[in-house]
Amino acid sequence: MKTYHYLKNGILEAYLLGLTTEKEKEEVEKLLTTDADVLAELNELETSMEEYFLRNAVPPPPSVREAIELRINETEIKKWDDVPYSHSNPKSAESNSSEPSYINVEFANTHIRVHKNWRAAFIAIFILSKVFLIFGLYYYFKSSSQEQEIIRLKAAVQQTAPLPRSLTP
Amino acid sequence: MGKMKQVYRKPTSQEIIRQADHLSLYDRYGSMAYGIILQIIPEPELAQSVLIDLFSSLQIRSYAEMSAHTTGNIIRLARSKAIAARPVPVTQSIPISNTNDNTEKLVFDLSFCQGYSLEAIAKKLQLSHTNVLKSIYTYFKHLRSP
Repeated sequence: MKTYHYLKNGILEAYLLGLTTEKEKEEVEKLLTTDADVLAELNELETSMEEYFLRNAVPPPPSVREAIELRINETEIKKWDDVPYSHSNPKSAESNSSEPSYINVEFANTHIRVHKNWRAAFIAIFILSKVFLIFGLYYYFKSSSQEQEIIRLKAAVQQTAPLPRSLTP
Repeated sequence: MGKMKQVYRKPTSQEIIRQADHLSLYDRYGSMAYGIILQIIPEPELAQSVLIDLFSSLQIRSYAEMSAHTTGNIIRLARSKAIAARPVPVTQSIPISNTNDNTEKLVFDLSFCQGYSLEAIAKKLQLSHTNVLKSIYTYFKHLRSP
């Protein structure tokens, strides 16, 4: 009964045209997995809808195909630019790929490309290194001056201390 | 010195397949999709831009990978992209200019081509939601009959 209702109430047509609400869409998709009659009707409907839209088809100019080809290539290049190194590593490449996904880059250069977040990290490392250097120098000079003070005090103590009795005249 | 020089990268076999998938779908459904987009956006330049966007989208790649219901998926995607790209957004009030149209055609035009929700159409035409759906069913039933 429910199947008949679905076949005749226009919900399949609305689903094919993208006019259903999310709830109706989910309902139809669920039914399609369980009801063979509804699936068969949908396939038939899809064919006739394709015929209908093909009757109203308009051939686009040839430049559109070239533009699509170009856009796909650009997308692929952009995708490669966004892929982190580990993804281009053949060990972690997509499992369904029959060959490793290498990017052929000429090796005779001394530059590397890193993510822009590294800039902040490099600045932080640079500032921290300067801070540590200043602290290091400060404590170095402080300890060396203290050592000199200790030597000076020792010398002063030795000079002021009384001589042993055996050494006195 | 050491200027970074990226040489020409040969496309991988996967990329070639993907590109071929997009283009084979375009060859098969391009005219149909363009016809649908033109029904919604009657401006060829904008319609072509939507068509390019449609056939270079990631969704098209997924449609190429699954064989079932490609037509339906392309119809829905072409419509949704065209409605989103329309210079005039969908308004709440429904202008009914052509009163000579029968209800079925009018419902199809308002819902599919103009992007109004079935609820809004039902309210405007003083029909129940079931009757709006029935109109779509009847419209396509007439088209299917030889």
